[in-house]
Amino acid sequence: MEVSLNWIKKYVDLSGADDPGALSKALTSLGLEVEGMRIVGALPGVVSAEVLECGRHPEADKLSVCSVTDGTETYPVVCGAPNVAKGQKVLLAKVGAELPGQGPGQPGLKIKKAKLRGQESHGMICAEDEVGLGESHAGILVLDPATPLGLPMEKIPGLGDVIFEINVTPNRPDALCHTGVARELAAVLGKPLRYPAAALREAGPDIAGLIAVELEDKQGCTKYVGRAIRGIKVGPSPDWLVKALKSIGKRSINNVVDLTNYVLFEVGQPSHAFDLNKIRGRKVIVRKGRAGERLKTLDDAERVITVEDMVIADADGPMVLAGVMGGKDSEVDAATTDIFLETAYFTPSVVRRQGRRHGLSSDSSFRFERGIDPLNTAWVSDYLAALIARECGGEVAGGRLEMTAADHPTQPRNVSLRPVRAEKLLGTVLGAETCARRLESIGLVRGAAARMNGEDSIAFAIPGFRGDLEREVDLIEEIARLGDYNGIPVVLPSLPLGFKALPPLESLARRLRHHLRDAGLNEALNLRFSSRKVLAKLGLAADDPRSACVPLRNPLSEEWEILPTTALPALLNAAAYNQNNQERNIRLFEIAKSFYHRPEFRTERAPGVLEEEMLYVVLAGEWPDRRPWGSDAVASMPVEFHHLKGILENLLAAAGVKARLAFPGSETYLHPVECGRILADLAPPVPGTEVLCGTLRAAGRQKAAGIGCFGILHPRVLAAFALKGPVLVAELSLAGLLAAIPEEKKFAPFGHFSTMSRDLNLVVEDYRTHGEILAQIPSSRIPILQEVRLNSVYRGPGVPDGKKALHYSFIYRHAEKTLTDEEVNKVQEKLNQELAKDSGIVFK
Amino acid sequence: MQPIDEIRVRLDGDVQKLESRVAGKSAAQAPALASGPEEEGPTPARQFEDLKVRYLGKKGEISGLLRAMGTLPAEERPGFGKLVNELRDRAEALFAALQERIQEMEIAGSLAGSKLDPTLPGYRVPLGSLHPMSQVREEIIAFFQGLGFELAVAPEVDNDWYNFEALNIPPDHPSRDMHDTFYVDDKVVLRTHTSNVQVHYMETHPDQPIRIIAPGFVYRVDNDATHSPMFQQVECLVVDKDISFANLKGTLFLWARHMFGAETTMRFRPSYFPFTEPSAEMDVSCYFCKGTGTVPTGTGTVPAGTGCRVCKQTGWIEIGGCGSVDPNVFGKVGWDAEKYTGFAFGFGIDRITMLKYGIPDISYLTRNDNRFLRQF
Ligand SMILES: [Zn+2]
Repeated sequence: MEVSLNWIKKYVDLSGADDPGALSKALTSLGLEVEGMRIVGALPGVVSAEVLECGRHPEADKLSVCSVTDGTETYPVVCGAPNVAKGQKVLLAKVGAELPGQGPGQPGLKIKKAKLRGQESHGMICAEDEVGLGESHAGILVLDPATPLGLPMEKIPGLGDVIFEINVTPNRPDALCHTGVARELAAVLGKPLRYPAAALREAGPDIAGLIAVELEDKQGCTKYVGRAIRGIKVGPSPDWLVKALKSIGKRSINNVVDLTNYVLFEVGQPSHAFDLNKIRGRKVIVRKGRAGERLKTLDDAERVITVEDMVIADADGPMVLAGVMGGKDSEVDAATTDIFLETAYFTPSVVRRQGRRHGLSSDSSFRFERGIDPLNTAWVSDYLAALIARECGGEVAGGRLEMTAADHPTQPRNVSLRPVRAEKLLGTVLGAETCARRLESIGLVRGAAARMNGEDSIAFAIPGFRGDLEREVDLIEEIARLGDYNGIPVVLPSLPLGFKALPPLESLARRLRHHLRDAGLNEALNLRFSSRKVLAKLGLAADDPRSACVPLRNPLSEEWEILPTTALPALLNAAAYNQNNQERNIRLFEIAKSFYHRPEFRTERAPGVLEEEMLYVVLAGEWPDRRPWGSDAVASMPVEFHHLKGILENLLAAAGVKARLAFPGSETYLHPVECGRILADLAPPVPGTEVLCGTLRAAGRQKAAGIGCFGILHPRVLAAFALKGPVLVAELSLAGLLAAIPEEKKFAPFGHFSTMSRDLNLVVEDYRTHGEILAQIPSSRIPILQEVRLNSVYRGPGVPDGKKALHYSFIYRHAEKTLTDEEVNKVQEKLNQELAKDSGIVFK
Repeated sequence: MQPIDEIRVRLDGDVQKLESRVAGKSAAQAPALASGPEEEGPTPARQFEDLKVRYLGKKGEISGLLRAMGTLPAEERPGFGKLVNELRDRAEALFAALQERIQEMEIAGSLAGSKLDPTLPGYRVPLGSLHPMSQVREEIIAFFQGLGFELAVAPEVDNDWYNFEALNIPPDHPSRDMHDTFYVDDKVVLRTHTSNVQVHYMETHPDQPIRIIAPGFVYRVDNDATHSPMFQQVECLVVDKDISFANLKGTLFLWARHMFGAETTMRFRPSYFPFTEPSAEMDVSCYFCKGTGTVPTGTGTVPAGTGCRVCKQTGWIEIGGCGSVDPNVFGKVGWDAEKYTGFAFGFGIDRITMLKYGIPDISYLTRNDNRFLRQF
């Protein structure tokens, strides 16, 4: 909200305390945060000056040739204004001054030495609009004759102003007006608040003879006050009024409308003026809307009224969307002579709902929905009527129409404070007297002392404008606020020592993160918004559980319309982004949440959305792989399946779970062959957490449950994401890892006897796998076989086409003795016989 | 006596010659000592062995003297024997010293002969990186864990009750304007703050002291250079029988000094959050300009005396909101607000990350540019 310092000064004496910076700090430390400050009327090079001489231009009738002094120098100035005259104090824009553009986007005017029709002109005598002070271009601005010469414009009394942009929090509607802000400053400066006043004189017939009010909707409106003023003259507003509104960025409309606005920004109570003669049936009804009703509001929009709306209607239909915006048909215009003035208290939530319903917010609705002073309605009605009569002529009809719902407050509320409780909550010593004085400074009235829960208390009457002060704790906050939070001591709480280990999920996620970082991967973070269109690029089957994304009702854009069930598309997009930036080597991982829309889990409090933490890995480009310097050294090689596999094998070991890789996988977005699954035996689920394992945990499955998958990205998906391949991908459920049976580490005696090894070269068909061969070795029946190590896979000269040679080492060790050659040979011989049963294996 | 003197003189001469040959080798020539070509004749090591055999061998000159002793008159023998023994001791000492020198030269020579280029890059898989927000998050958690806080979590998609109503933000209340909320439907929202953790935790841990920290992602309908529609907050909640606003300040002060340096001061401004009362905004003095608003000397990158861009010349950095737990919140979760008091605070991890690393635009944090990620 914009607040004018000139305006504030009407209500509190700031002499000696009007430094804008200091005021801004004071307001901020009161909780009225000053977010911006604008010094109005500061135009370097524009100063007060006097017209010493003024004569007709010899060549042009409409121009005057003047001699103007700023007190130190005298300048020749040619002026086109009709009202310029010798002896006037004026605003002089000296050479070099820059005047603002006329209207938004218009270029400014830089004052230069010029010759106008042959006459030298070294400056410009300014009109109001030329220096941004008003709209008037009728002539030059003539200053008070007492104005000293050479004053910079912002220092000239009445011209300069400071506008504070204040962020008023929703609990402080009292500060949404100038008297409210002035009240706060008066409180901290220890000065009295001068509340505005105007003398009301009633004349002519009583209002009851002119119009009637019916308050039907007593929920939406608990107080309605009407006044009538007749014989007014609607026209332009007086200068002071235009200036006051303009200073806070409000456009002048006409004197009547401007005065209602002025009072709104002065005391915070919105009012509405109707053209009395446009009210059909001479009846004003506060009621609910009716189906089929329409209203053309002041913004020229045709509004369809609903039965939930509250309207101010006449005999024929709605005139105003109550508390939000007036209607065109009952608007005060130039022909208006009699007005009906509405000042009311509308229920905050009702105004808020109808504002939202119609997508409308106005200065009035903004205040109504935050809660205005319920005890000040009649006073504002009188005050505003007096102002209108004073400024627009006319006479105020006798009396006011005043409707009050039974539950509308008529007395200030009482709230009790225990000073001891304030001290305890704030942790500082205050004393009852300090507490009371601070509260009184903002208008609370101290009442009787009493006891409350065994402690001394004081009752305070809360003024109507502080509807937010309902409870003791609200008073305690006021005490803290008015005393400056920074005065409260800084004390560590005395709490018992304690230690809480990280929750398993957090600690697992951290282990995975650090492991992958150490393994050379970069952690990514994606916004969790996606779209069904992007998700569709994965080519998931129609019945895939991952189709159950969480739709947003008000997304920022179509690309961000859902919370997705998989963050993989986001990571693939990040990979593509990097590839487009010539960053070929993609080594990204992310631990991200998946969201499943599962309405069957919806309850009164549960949202029906399941969240699951997933790990994603995306690799592309080169993997660092160094052969010894001096040999045929290469720094890296294209990343391939086995790099990813190795990373995952280490990762699972680091996670400390019994998990294994199985081939192939069956993930639609992966290569159908070059892919695998991550399987684990799961511990029985903790009741209530079963569903949290998402899609990867087959329902109810505990043995060899899939907790992840990995492989080469399918070419179709690669193309859909515009990626350059090959791209390797893995995904792994953290819930799955947590549920997996942990790898228990227990010491195993290993003996101190040396190992022996036997090498074997096998030739097999190219399509045969290492895994198949391993499976044929009866390892469990050979306790001394420690390890079967694959040394190389060879294709080329010496091996027939379509076949490959596998070179294995078999490592033997006995825990309790040194093995002899004969023993090992015997075992190896048996093992070879076992392998030889497979006719596809040829020993070499 | 003559042959003894003669041998001693020759011995001294030979040893000295070899010694000077060894000593004369520069470090660069040293390898030749051990394995160099023999164009200069035998290597010093070979020469040493020859000399040693010549003098001390079984058939060496000194043994020869002893054998010759038999030819001397009996009365001369003891004197001669003593002299020969002295000569042998001398020879042994000389050869031992010489052998040590030769061995040292040989080792030095083999080491100096290395062809290693230590400036070649090491063999490694380059270390990856943790996202800067992960690092800041861990640092914050570690601090509060040290104070005995428990890490707590809550859903990111949550019921209106947890995100708003139980936090004293009723429907149709203007304070909802402070939250630009993403809705799934009327009752389900993307949480706008981590404060929903407060409600979940208090509901599940009734009537007991609480000390929790809750980092997590939150969502607001907002997207510009300083706002992301998804960002990370961390929430703290302490509840006990005697917790004051002064305790809030004490805890935050300890944390601020840990995070921003030992000279950090702080400032509290009244504010409004429906779930705390009193409510405050906390600022800390700018760590870069030390709260002066002007760049000090010695920062290296920015000219001294110019306006500080970290704090926009205010000397202060806004950190987050805080306050004492509002009694209505206790009421909503069925706690006795007369018995318990507490404090809560929340701040943005994104913001602290940007401050810590000088990241100018929040969108860097989620763009996943390799050139960004690799820096951390
Ligand atoms: Zn700074």
